[in-house]
Formats: sequence, structure tokens, C-alpha cells
Amino acid sequence: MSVAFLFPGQGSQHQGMLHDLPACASTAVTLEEASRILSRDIFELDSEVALRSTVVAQLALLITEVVYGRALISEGAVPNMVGGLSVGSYAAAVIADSLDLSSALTLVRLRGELMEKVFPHGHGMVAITGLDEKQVSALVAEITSRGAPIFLANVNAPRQIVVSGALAGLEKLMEKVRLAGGSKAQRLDVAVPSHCQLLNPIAEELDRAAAGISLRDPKYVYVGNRSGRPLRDSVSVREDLVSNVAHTVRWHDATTLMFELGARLFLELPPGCVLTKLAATSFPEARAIACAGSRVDFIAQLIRKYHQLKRL
Amino acid sequence: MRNGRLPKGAHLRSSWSTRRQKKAERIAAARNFADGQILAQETIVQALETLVLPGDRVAIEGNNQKQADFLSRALAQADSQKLHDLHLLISSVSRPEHLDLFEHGIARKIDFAYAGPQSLRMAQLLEDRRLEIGAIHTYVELYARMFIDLIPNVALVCAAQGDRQGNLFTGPNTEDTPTIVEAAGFSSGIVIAQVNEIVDELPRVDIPGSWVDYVVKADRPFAIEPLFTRDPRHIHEVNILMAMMVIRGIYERHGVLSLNHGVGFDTAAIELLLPTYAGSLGLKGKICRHWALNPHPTLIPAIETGWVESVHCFGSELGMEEYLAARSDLFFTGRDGSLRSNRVLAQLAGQYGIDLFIGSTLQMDGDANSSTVTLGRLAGFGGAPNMGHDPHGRRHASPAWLSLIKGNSDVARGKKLVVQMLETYQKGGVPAFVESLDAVKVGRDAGMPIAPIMIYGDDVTHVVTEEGVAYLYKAIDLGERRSALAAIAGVTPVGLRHDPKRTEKLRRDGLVAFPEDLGIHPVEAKRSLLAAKSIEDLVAWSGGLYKPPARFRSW
Repeated sequence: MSVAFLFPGQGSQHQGMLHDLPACASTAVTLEEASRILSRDIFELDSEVALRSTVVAQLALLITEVVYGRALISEGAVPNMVGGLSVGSYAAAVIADSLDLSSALTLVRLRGELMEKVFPHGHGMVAITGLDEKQVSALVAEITSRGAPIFLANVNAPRQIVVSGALAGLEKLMEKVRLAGGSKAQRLDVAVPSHCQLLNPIAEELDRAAAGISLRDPKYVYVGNRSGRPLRDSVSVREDLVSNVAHTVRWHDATTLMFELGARLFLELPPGCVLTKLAATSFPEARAIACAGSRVDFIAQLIRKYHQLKRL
Repeated sequence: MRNGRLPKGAHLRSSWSTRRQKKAERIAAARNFADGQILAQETIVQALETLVLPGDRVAIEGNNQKQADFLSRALAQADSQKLHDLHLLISSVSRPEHLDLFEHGIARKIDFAYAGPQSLRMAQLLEDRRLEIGAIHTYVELYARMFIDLIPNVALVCAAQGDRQGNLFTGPNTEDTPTIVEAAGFSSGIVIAQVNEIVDELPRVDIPGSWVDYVVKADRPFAIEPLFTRDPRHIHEVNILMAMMVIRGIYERHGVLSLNHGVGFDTAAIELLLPTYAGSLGLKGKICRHWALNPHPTLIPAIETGWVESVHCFGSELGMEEYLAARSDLFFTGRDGSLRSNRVLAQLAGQYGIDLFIGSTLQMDGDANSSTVTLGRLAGFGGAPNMGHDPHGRRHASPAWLSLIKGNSDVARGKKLVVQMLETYQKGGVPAFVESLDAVKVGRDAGMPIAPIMIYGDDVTHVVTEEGVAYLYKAIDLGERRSALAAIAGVTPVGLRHDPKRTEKLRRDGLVAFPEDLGIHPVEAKRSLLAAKSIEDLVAWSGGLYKPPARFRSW
């Protein structure tokens, strides 16, 4: 049975997360490398104040996820496939040995900086529950306008969909969700309208920045955010990393694909637990576990056990 | 071509046995991988690269139960430089490597019946133009085509045991093997069977060795899923209410003696109400005596209490083997004592031999067309549509079949009962009755010639929801049919169309029955009516002969 590593995105960060990393040789090496590249003390990144910055939150997530993923691999507990939600895909690419940590840090820092800069105010994201993609798309098409555009941003589950764009449009959307039969429409605590074409300029800049970076074919199947497809070569991984910020994240498709490819153990790397709940709901036949708070050797043993159960 | 002369330029074919000759060439080329009829496990990939040629039509045995997975995994490891453009025939695309074959460029085209477990990848590969679909069939149609215009060049099948002469023993899971082997084996195709073990003496011969070219011992026993086991713990009171309405309003009313049940908690509830609720109505011997059915563990209490006279099975069910062997009066068994199943024959029996098909669905439109297809997925059909229709070629009569005759024409014929069960709302508050089926959009998006409808409304004779029963076959026109369906569709978009006055008339005329019209009080629909409330209870009913797979054991 195959094992999938899931890498959480922004929203999963919490205070003190870098102070709770597994104590093993690979951790020290990773932290030292990160400090050198960012030229700052890693342990300052996870204070409540520091994490308010998009740049810091994204970097802290990247580092935490890579540290934990490497700790598992050093125990011989490897995944068959990896996938990250939004910024989580950078850690996924590092763990799949497609992207160097140093390049990942540089790109994620730039990504965060651009996101903070381009949309200082007037935009946001809304999470809708109880309506399916067809229904949400119809509402979005009805409401969006040139002055206040909104877009389908994430399809996290068949009835958990995030829309991003201009606040004026999002407010109209929230009013209509109830009438259309939805159960909830909630503003997310983010100022950036992620995963829509408003962020095309950021994707273009990331594309330029990534021009000098060489990627390798991923060691494990890398599942793309944008297409929900298995990506097996460096060119497609690169394309997914630089462009996912400006496209709908098809997370439900991505994890369904993993299930269809044989994943029966979904492991969400720290500090997240949201992706675990999504996977547990969508795939009752599989096991979904959040690693946060668990010992590495325990999780590693579980992974090795799944690799021995080679039924699929 | 006047006066028996050939047109100018025509010439006679020089050989009429080219297929046989080509087969001989392939077998000669593969001699290094074989010892007589036994292929070596270690070199199976090279053997397949030699025996299969680019462009071949390859039937891979795989249904919703057993899978020739050693051979499909081996084929997916082939070098796509050597092996490409294969046209696969797979009844159920259930395994990751079935579609890896397309990702790796080994296969190009597929004809299939069901792809539920790989339905997203199927849709993606189609969209990315890495896969072409010949057609989405029902099981029987796909096998029918294997004898007409989709004759396989190679068949990859599985069995429990084989001997050095190529004889195969399938055990209880005979299923599709004889059909696929026949289609390839008698048309100069190459038949390769993976077996769990090679033995000197087989318990019985399910496939004679002269139909089989090669046997190979698999690295592990063939994959198999317990697909027909439903844990009675998950049957809730709405399932029970609907089951009571089916028993009173359909089985008793029409005297249904022979039938097929789809798989699901609705039909499991019916099975578990036979010894209790139906027994209290004095229906034993009057309904449900003959079955075309997989060995559902939930049928055990009805069997043990003497309701069931015969069961013919499509396949077996994991854990039921010993129980079936010990009930050979009811089940088809071989000389060795174990079950003999056969999917095509059971499908044929389920079309022509029975009074009624009943199954659950997820989505139904106002005309009673139904489908379980959802957006962005290409899941196909499986076997339900084969039995969920009225076979117009039927000539023999039975009381239930005759009871559906309308009017008094001299040449009237009866009708098979095709019953659909669904709750008006699915989990998560999604209405089950809709204006337009998702299947319509899926069909359009995928460029399919027709929408993937599971059961056509004009075949459906009865619909049962928690609100009541609609006797659609009685409707005199489409308008009356729609009204009868709307009357039991609750507060869904279809149900909201109903006119209360018209509904009262439909009840008087017998086109609609609410629970009270059938003498059922919804408060009576309790779990205490179930003959077994858990898997443990089923094991106890079987006297310990049923051995449920680990995933169903909670004790």
C-alpha cells in the first residue's frame, strides 16, 4: 500500500512551531542551512508577532515541513508520492529531491514578499461550505465584475470551496451563498486574493526568478496543485511551483488522484492537521494521520509497515 | 460480379489461417521464457514483450472482485519502445497499473464497463488525450463484443491453481475467466493465466488446458475485494422503512418469486427483513425463492430460515466460501464442493430468468432516469444496467411478469419489474432528485455519443423513497408518470412540482402508495426488525461457517 506525504499551506502555522522539531542529525543540518541562506536566526521566525508576516509564515512552514520530512526519510520512511497545498508544494518538491532547499527558501521568500506588496488592501478570500463546484462557479460567474472580480481559488473538498478576489465581490457572494442553499460562508484571515489570475504578475516574477534554478525529476510522484495530475519530470514540477499562486488549487482532485494511485496512508507533515481531516472524510478506506505532536520513530514505523503491505 | 466472374483486379486470398500462423510465430519467439506451458515468473516482463505485439487487443481479466494483477503489473513494466498502442479490454478498471499503462505510453485505447476506483484518472487521461475510449459498456456488452468485433489477440487471466498441462482451477471465483479464455483461445489468440500455485492435481478443472497457452505462478495471490459485504450495523431506520414498503408494496403485491438485488444498505435491509417482517406477514414460500445474486452475507438469515431455494452467483464473496460449500442444495458447486460462479451466465439469468431487479441509485431526474455518475469522473456502469432493464426478447411468463400487463390487447406481453430505491436527500443535504443528471454534462464534456445513464426511466416500473412507492408502470402517459414520481420526491426540485390534489387522485388510482396505504407505520421501522444487527450476528447465523475478512471484524 502506498504512502502519501501531504504538506500544509498558509493558515497552519502556529507560534513556537520551530521550537518543537524532531531532535535528529538531519534537523541540525537543515536549520543551519536555512539560517545561512536567510541570514537570520530561525528560532525568531515563529513568534506570534513574526508569524503575522506572510513572508515569515511561509518560510517557517517550509522549514518545519522540510525538517520533519527529512527526519522521516533518514529513518528509511519514504513516501511514494508527495503533494503540498499552495506554499506547501515547495516543501513537497524539496522532499521529492526535485528542488534544493536553498532555492526553495529563495523562491518562497520572494513569493511571500510579492504577495504582501501587490495587494495591500481591498482583497481577501471566503470559504464556502455546502455548495458544490458547479453551484459556486455559477455564483462566481453571476457576481464577478471588472471592478470587483472574484474567482474560484481552492476546491478542497466537493463541498468546501474557497473563492478569492475583491472584497466588494466577496461580500455579494456571502449574501448569496445562503440563498443558494450553502451552509456557511466565512471570510478567511488573509489579505491576499491567492490562487486567481490577479496574481499573474507574481507568477511571472517567480518564473523569472526560477529561470536560473535547476530542478531535478522528482524521486517520488509529485502531484500538482493546478492540474491535480501526477507530475514526474522537473519541467512540470517547476511550472506548478511558480504558477500555482495564480491558479485554482484542485486539492480534492490531487488527493483523489493519490488515492487512485494506491495511497492508503496519508500523512500530513507538521504543523498542519486540516489536510488530514479532508483526507479522512474523502477516503474512509485509507488512514489519514497528522504527524504534528507524534514521535518521528513511531510515524516512521507506521510508514514502513504500509510499504510491507504491498497489496495495491 | 455478373455471371460469377470476379470484378477486374480482384484476387483471391492466399491464406485463411494467418492468425494461427502468427500465433505459432509468437510462441516460437517466446520459447526461451517457457518450460512447456509454464512461463518463468522472473522473466514475465520479457515474455510479455515477446508474446504481445504493438497494436494488439489485450483482454486483462479484472472485474469488481478478482483481478489478474500479477500480469497487469508485469505488462505495465514493459518497455514502451517495444510495446505500444495496445487496445485494452478490461471490464473493471480497478487497479492503478491499468492506467499506468496509458501514462507510460504502452496502451492507447480502452473498452471498459466500470472504472469507479480510477474514475478521476480516467477523466484526466481522456482530457489529456493520452487515452481513447472505444466505448463504455455494460459487462455483458463488453463480453459480447469480444466475440464479434473486439476479439482479443491476447488474454491475461487469473486462477487459483494451474497444472503443467494448462488446466485451471478457479475455486469459487470463476467469474469471467471462461468467457475471456473462450474469446481469445478459440480465435488463435494467446491465453496466459497467472495462478497462485502450480500443482500436480487440481480439485476440479474450471478451464481445460487445451484452451490455455501458458501458466505462470504469480508473486502473490491474485487481488480480490469483498465488494458485496454490508455491515448490518450501518443499516438505519430509513433503509428499514423503505425495505418494508418494498416487501409489502412490491414483492407481496406482484408475487415476486425470482430476483436480483443490487448491492447497498437498502437491499441489505430487505434481505434481513425476510425472516422477521416478511415472515410475520406469512410470505414465506410466496416471495423471494430464486436468486441471481452474489453471495451477500446479509442473505444468510433468510437462507437459514428456509426462504431461499436457489442462488446463482456472478462471483463469490470473501469469507463466504465455507458457508457456500456447506449449502450445496442452494448454490452451484463443483465436484470438489466449492462454489462455481459465472458472471456472464448470471447476467444472462438476471436479464431473462427473473421477475425483478431492484437497486439503489444516487441521482434521478423527473422522468426516472438515474445514474451514479458524478462530475469530473468517468466511472462507467458495471452490471446493474444489464439487469436494470426489461429484456424485450422475453417470451416465458410468470405471475409477476404478467401482473404488469396494462390494457387488454390480444398480443399484450408482461414486463420485468425494475425497481429503483433512493432517499430523497443524500448525505450532506444533496437532493437526489434533480432537474438534469450530472451524467448528461459528463457525457457532453467527455464527447460521449450518449449520456452515461445507468437505468433508463422508461425501463423503471417502480420507484421507492422514504415517502412512498410510485407505480410508474401504471401511468397512462408521461404526465401521469411524472406526477407519480413527484409525489414521492419530497422537497427536492422534482418533488416541489407535485400537486397535492393530483397526488390524492394518484393514491386512489393506485399509482402512488404512502406507507399508511400499505399498512405500514413509519414508527415500526426499527432496527429490532433486522434478523442480524451486526457481522457477528451473521457469523452466528452461519454456525461459524462465514469467516468475514478482517476489515469487517470488530470483535
